[in-house]
Amino acid sequence: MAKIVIVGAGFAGHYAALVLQDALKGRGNHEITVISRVPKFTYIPSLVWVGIGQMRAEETQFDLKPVYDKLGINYIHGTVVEVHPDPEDQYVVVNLPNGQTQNVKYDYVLIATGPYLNFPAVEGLGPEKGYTQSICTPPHATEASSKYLELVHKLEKGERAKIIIGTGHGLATCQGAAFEYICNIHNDLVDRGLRDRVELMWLSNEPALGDFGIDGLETKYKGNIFTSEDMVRYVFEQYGIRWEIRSHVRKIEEGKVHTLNLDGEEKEFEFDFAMLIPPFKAQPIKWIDKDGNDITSKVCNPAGFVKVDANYGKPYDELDGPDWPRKYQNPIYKNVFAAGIAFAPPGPLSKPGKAPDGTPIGPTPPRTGYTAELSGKAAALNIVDMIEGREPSHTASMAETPGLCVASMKNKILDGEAATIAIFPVARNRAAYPEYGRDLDNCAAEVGMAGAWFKLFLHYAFLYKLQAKPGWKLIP
Amino acid sequence: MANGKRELMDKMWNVRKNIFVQLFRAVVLGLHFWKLVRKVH
Repeated sequence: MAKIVIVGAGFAGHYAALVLQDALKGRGNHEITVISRVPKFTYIPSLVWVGIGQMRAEETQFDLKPVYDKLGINYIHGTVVEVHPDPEDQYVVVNLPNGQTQNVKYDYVLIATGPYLNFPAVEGLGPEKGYTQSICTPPHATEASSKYLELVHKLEKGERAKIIIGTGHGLATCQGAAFEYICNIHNDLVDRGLRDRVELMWLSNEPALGDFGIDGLETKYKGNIFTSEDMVRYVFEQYGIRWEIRSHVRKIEEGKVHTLNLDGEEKEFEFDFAMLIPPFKAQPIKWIDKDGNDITSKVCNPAGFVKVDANYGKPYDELDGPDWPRKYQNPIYKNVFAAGIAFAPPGPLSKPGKAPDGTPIGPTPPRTGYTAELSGKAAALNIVDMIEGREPSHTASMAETPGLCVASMKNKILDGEAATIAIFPVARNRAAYPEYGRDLDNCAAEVGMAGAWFKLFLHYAFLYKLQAKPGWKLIP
Repeated sequence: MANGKRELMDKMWNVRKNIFVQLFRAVVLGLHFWKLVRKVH
């Protein structure tokens, strides 16, 4: 009997639990335990609608325990603070909500914790101790909605306002979520007849518009190479959104953002409402060896993300598809896997830059949503391989798998719009596709109502699938 | 933005809420997504 512990229950961890349970059904008396600090699964892509008051946070969530009870998976509500990976006695230490700790033994562990939202990295960033909003968690999105609707109320009385949306640090990621938010805000203000009272500004660390942390994308159309930069520039021109890119946020005061850009220019922008995505780092988990030594720096990268089977240490210009991890297995402890945001990427997807004073400015790689699911699935199936005495054989490299993204711009059935984006593969792979690093015949980017339908369909399809309802395995 | 690209964007923008065009695009994009998803499942 094998004991498998999954730490985290987001896209990677929760989907891995479902895949593991299904793959091990009838193949021995194995024990799967999921440990999550949040007792609910949240479909994060829909938080953009929560953030403008068009959806309640509860509509993006479901309770994990009933799903795990149905499937025979153990569930512990708690926060993993230590992993003891040495073979003699392998266990994780969990802080429980009642203040007690619990040690949970494992034969295989999958770390899929998602990010720690690093608001303290920038003075004044974030809704708790700062002056900006976030849509990264249900409570944050709900608070953002409340602040946004307060502003709308002022606009209705005839006031004017400045809104800034984007990234709140030179190394932030998830530009796509911020893009969705600014587009939804624009369209909401248009529908309310208030758009002419608002200056909307996009502030981001991207080296170019439409980079999205994935080095942008190209598609072929009638002999033209059409890029995501062309698309986003056009959309912002149509929407009357001004932009300031290649920028790090130095600090935020009440109503004012201080930035530094790649040319070394320091600027200030005033705002009445701002939503800035924070930088991510790993959830704080210590790795302890059998002698009690802290070996976190051996197992993880400096940000705390778990090292897996990637080629680390290459400069950006030399990094290519084969350097990205395929099996999500730790090279030191072979029974340790990491998936989703928790695995350490070998480098950025977008070209990194530095301001003249050395401040790094450039998106870190997104590995959320579908990419997280695929890495979680590969790790889960590799654990099954090892339980049954085989070498891990399942792969889901970001340089060999597609990125599928539908960026909502307006959530209406008969009047909505969204940018539908497909890339193959996510990470440029010049070894396989020498010219662009991607197969342009499989890349697509377009704006239209069809995307809005997809976005809504994906919301319901994923929430159905991830509750393991009848036929869930048919939904990829 | 080059003229060819602007024409393409104008064309896409002008039909972005045309229900007939979008029904067709939903089928085309749906099949495209399905093709990509099948590569990894």
